Amino acid sequence: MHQLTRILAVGLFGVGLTACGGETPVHEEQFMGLGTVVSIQLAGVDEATAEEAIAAIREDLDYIQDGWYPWRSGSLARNNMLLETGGEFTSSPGVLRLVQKARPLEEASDGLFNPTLARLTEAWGFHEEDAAGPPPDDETIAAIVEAEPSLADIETDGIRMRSDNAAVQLDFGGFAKGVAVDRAMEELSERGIDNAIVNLGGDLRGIGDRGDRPWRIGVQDPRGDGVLASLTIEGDEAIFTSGDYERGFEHDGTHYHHILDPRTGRPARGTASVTVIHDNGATADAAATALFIADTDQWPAIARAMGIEAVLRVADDGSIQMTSAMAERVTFEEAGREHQVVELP
Amino acid sequence: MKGVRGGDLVILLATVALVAGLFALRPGGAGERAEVRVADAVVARLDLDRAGTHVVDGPLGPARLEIADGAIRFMASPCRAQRCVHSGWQRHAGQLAACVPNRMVVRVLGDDRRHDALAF
Repeated sequence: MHQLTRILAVGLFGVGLTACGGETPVHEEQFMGLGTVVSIQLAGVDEATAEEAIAAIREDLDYIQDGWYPWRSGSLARNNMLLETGGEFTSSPGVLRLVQKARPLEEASDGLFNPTLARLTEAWGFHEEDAAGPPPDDETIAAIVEAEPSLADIETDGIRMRSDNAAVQLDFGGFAKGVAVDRAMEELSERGIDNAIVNLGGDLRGIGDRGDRPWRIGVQDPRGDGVLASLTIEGDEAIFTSGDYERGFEHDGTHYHHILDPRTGRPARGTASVTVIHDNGATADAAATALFIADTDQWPAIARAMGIEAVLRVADDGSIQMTSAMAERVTFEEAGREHQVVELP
Repeated sequence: MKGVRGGDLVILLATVALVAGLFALRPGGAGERAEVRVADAVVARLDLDRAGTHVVDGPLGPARLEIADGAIRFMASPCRAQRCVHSGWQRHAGQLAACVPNRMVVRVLGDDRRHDALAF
């Protein structure tokens, strides 16, 4: 082959690799699940394995949505009806496991993560996808808050369960996505898939990398249109965010979001968004909720108690605080973005 | 160019044309197109370079999507909460806006993703 021809041939081959996909193939699929948009990306997996794994995850998410949503006739709804009677009953193993998993998180969060507020959620209308207000009246809110429902009111003995507090009604809305993402990762792991992202409507767990580079995650700016900061997945970790811009409604010029403060029975005020990183989705989910509700001077102690080191908190005035562990991980889109680094106690 | 023959020139021109073609056909510049799904089925692929409005039917009723300046948004939706409308413009590959009650998802396509996933 003539030299020029050879050079061109080699050059063309190189471009062909780039243009035709020298990168690791990434299988991506999106669907509706758990009342949100589920997005799954699997890197370096053949199509058949990917489709099989995603079908299994999808089936599990449907099961969770049917069984763990207290306003459908599933096992959680049945459990809540029986809790209300005050008598002892046999709980379903699934509900029992959720209660056991959530209990230490409620305690560590000083009660800010409280999965027994189904009545409050319903009073505000946030049990529906399309909550439109108006807010409940003061008496309704006071009756629930003054009853102080908590997981501590639930007694369990083996698979038997009861509660003296009739206001205790389980709602794992601030927890189910975390548990679900952990289960999805287990499903992938069992199939030998170790490079993936499972994203449940902005709450996600990532593992491994994209093949040619790490998985890149953008954290949404709660007060802007785009991305506030970026980070990459390291190993296997969950990134969960609670934000006041998610579900909610406007009424008489006030925005009421869905993250309710168990102390007041009303939407928590003072925070625009909280993003946390933790290796466990359930813990990250509960922590994002609790730290969103926590007061400005209270959240570092709650984060420490819940075992969360990486926290990014945007206050409702737009000011940013983050822990040093988070500061090491994120890059702001806007260079030099003002923020305060907070050391955990 | 010393040593270049007529045959080489043909190969050179063919190569340049092929390389240019490969780049032109390379998938995704960020935010070139958007995909609209209703109940998990793709119902439209829209060019973000073409400003205008599109009406897409969902189980709740028709939603109006607007394209302008290389971005897409829900302009109007039959849902009560209007979260999809409030989610604003989606411009970058991988960004999406969803109307869960109307089972409609709008996602910006493209391989040149700055982010694989958005945390929100």
